[in-house]
Amino acid sequence: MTETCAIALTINGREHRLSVAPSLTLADLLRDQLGLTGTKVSCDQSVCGACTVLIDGRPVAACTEFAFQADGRSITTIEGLAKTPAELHPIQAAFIEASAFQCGFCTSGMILLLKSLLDRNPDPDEATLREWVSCNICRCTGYEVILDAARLAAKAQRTAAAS
Amino acid sequence: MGVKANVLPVAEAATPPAAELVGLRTRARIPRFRLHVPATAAEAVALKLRHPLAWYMAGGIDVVNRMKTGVAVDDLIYLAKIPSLKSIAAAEGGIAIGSGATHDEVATSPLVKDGCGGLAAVWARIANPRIRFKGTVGGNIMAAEPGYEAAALLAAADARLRFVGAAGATSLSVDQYLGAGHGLGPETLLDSILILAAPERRFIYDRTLKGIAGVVLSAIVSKGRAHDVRVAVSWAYPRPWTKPIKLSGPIDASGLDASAAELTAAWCADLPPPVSDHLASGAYRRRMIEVKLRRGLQALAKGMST
Amino acid sequence: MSIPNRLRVVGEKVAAVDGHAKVTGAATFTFDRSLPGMLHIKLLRSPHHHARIRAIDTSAAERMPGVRAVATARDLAGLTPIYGVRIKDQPVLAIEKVRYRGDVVAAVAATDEAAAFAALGRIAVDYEVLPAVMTIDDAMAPGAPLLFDKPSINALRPHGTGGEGIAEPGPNLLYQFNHDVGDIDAAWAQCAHVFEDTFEFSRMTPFQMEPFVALARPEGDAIELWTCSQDPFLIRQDVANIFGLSDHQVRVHASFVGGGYGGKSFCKLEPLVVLMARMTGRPVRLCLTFDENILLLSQHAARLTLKTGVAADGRFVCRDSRLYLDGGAYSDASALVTDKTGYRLPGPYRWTAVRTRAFSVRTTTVPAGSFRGFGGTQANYACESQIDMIARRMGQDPLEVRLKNLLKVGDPYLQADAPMDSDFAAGLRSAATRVGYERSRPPRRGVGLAIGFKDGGGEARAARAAVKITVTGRVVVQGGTAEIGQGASTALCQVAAEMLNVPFEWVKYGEIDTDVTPYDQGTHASSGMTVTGTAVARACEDVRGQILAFAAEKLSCDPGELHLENWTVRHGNTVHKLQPLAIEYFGGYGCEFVGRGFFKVNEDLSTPLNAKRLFWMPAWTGIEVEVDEETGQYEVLNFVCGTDAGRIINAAAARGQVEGGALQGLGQAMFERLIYGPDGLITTSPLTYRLPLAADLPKHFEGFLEEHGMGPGPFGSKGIGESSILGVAAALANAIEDAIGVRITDLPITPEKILTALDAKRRAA
Repeated sequence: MTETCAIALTINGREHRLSVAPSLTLADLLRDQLGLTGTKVSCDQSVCGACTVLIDGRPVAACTEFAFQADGRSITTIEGLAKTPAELHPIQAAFIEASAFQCGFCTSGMILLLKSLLDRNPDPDEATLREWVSCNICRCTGYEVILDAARLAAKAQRTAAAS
Repeated sequence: MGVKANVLPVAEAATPPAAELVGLRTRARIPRFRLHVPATAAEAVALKLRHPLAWYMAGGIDVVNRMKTGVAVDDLIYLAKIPSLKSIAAAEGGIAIGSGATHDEVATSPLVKDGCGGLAAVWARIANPRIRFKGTVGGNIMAAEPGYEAAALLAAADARLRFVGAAGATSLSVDQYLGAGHGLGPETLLDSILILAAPERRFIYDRTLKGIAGVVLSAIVSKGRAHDVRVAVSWAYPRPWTKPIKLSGPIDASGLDASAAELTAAWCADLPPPVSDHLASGAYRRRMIEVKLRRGLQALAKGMST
Repeated sequence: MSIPNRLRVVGEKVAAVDGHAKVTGAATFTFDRSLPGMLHIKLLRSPHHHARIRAIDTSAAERMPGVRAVATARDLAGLTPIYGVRIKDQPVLAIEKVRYRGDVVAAVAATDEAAAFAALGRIAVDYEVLPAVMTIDDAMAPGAPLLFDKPSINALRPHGTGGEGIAEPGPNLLYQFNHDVGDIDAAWAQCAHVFEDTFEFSRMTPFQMEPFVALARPEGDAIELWTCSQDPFLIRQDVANIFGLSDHQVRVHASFVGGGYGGKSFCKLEPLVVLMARMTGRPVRLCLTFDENILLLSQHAARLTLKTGVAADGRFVCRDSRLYLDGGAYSDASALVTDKTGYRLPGPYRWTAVRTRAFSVRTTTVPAGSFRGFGGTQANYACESQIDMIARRMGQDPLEVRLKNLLKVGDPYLQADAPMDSDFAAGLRSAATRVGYERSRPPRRGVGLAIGFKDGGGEARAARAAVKITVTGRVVVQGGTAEIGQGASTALCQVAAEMLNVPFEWVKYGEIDTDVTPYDQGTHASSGMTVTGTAVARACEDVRGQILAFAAEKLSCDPGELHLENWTVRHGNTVHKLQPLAIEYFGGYGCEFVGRGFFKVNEDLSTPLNAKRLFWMPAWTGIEVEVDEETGQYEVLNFVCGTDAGRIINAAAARGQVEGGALQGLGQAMFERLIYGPDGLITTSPLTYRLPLAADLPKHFEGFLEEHGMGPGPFGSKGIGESSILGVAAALANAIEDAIGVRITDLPITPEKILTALDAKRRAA
């Protein structure tokens, strides 16, 4: 039994050893304690997916995940995606290419969601792609441009992998 | 409806705040709690006996979200570190799925795919991929949310739920558990779900009227004949309504197709009135159950002949 | 300005100026801001729909650890604490009464959120519960309980000929708009047929992903405010008025806005945030929960009754309409929305006479206000549904009936307003072709068309802009249009790059700060391109003139002999770099050239509203459906929606606006709505509020853009952001009637409603 817990986790490739209250959500750990505000929080109910981060490569709504649950795991946030500011991840580049954002509040979560999909399935069929994009809400775009970006990114990554 | 307040207390179990805080559902209201991380199911049960108001938590989707309403929780028993609850293993008569297995683990488990591929396939359609990675089978059942799907799918699969508590283990059907008077103690923990090995069991699941009426039916199909046809209805009642279809014996595709309407009428004869709410009237729900069941039987028949 | 056919930057593909920040998580929203030493504000909201506040005891809350202030109506003494658009009736905190479940009664500022929640629970409010007024019918019933006992502050602007606005014309009525064209009593005699139909329109919540959030920092009497609002200058004005401050004591910052759709326009809770900052002397932050955001503002539900007279040949003659909008508990922008709903109801058609009576009704529900379409969605739904019904009743083709009656380019709207600046017939034919209107189709499939129609550019709006160029030729565009996702920052930079003949990458959009940014009346009415855009274009012309004059002086020639390009000037065959010229002139230091631009729509009381409309915004919608007659379920097979951008500045952003709005419209048509039950709001959180996901996309979904070249904005551009939502619900209802011969006249169009209508049709047969 503990009132604070010691956790060790990797965030964007960097190890962190932290003492957290069990009631602290992963979203608040990232945003308020580590300053990683690229993770947005919207519905606070695991519905909209704006706060999606990757835990061991799987998409998780950080608003509904306790920080202690991430103990021992590897977290990727939007800040961890681009190798350098000039060298964007192919999905980020595809989002710019396809203008797959408007207000941008859902964008971090969408990009990470798609990273998880394309990492496990580099060439998803349309049904799979739609099912995955349906995990998250975008109120602005009507989704078609996000699907476009996903297809572009998938193609770019396959091409890069083949060369 | 048998809300399992013993397992996942709802708000009234806690001290209410002095004034109702309208609209203030937020993670900032999650109470401070003591965290318990048992290593075995027995340890979890012992902790719950020691802290009767403690909450069990597996994946946490429902627990964390309910905590955001400001409910007081002093103790949380985190079940994810109990290896037996995470296992999916061959068991006598079938496959034992640990209650802490995620939906994704069930849908992609080679054991489940081999032993009951039809169930694995329908399991891959519930919620969405993000939820399937985190949500657990046990959590889905214990949350007792009318919108959830696991209980109906398991009822149609004739699954057995194995509970462990102070008095030992108890095995119940989904219907027995969800019905009144199962007699389980408040410390009881859903340990595992037993799926009968039935590679020939096929599933037909219409979830296009989500929130209004979902109809799942399953049947064993062997040698061109169907038997053991089970039906479960979700969303039309506070809990899934389930009942087998009475057949005089195994039935072939053309017989099933020809008698689909008649079987549906007979099955629906004692259907209780579905709920009426903001999504649909009870009358519409009832009519949809009939249509979807008849179509499901016809689809089953069609699948048998191809 | 002369408009070249081929442009370098305008209409070309560019990387959005906010793209890198938004895909890397670096974009800062107000949601992401915090201030050193700030307190957290939490709100106590009414649990009752309607009640009198007998007493509030905050003493226990004030003694709680960490609490720095508890505000109630008593803390409004000495202020002018009522806000609203045109009619002001909303108090900063509930005064004497609460008027909806969720009305803000008290606020706590504390050192941390947990302390604030604990304190809220200790505030004791003694309510005398009053009967609720949950619907338009409740509010209009004889002897209905009144939401307001006293008249509200009337700040209406005058209407012109044919239009009339009346504040509080009756019990529980906030506002009435009358619109009269021609002699309707005489016109009925010309009609071969008269049709009367009533339509019920549902209400949505904006569901912007970034909830309402604002921070304030006091410094003496002055206040610095960061808000998610799209209207920083209007907020400055409201805060100054409420607290008796001068404008320059209030400094408002805008950031990237995380979605609005109307929900972030006009004053919301900013004055309360300022109040808490002033009470505590500390920086404060208020960020609503998502569920609170649902309680902040909604679209207007509506009931619209249209009585339409038609000649034997299908020519429209006259329309007499009566419509009621559910304005909820407080005014917000309801008066303006009522004007616009009523004014747009006749649609882009020729009429001999029109009589419209539009009312905004007060109910004890979430206040209604701006929502993408601004009343146009309600008007188009009723208008375009009824036109289809009339055509079918008369045995005529709905497309032909529309084509026969449409206004042509250059025709004035209702004889008194700005002429049509889009070819409505061409656009409608395009939608019909794209959706396969003429195709034969199997039973239970149908196709429906609808025209979306609204004016853009707002109410005699004004905007200023500045364009700064450094000695290296780099450009900062300063305008007050907030980047809310519509792509205004990119499009305005494209305009500047085009006009100053520099690479697009050299141009940025400055952050909005009311101390620095030139004045703009806010991000409204799809006017970023036309109003602010024209101001930016004029600022570019101004600064271009300054640069050429400067260069001409240095080169001892006439400015007219110089050609500006990539921060050089060409004089004859000689190219002169501007950078060394400028640096030399400014003594080796840097400097800036600053151009200023202004645009205003003049008031004009010869037309029913207060000015002629700046431009007309069309949407041409086509939907093909297949209906399952046994369940009432239907599938949208084909969905096309297009608009006239005038001239496309940024095709990708324009496409995003069209598709995004279209899907919002489709969601509303099919399922999305705030649901009120007998006990109040049922859809209180995202889990119960269904809105469109990618899985809901039709099989074929196409947003299309036309360029009719007649817009008032730079290069002939128009605003488009609100267009595509307008006609969707009518197009769906029309498609369903085409498929199975039943008409649904209330939203959303659910399978159960269809099945019920089919049952009635079968019984009648």
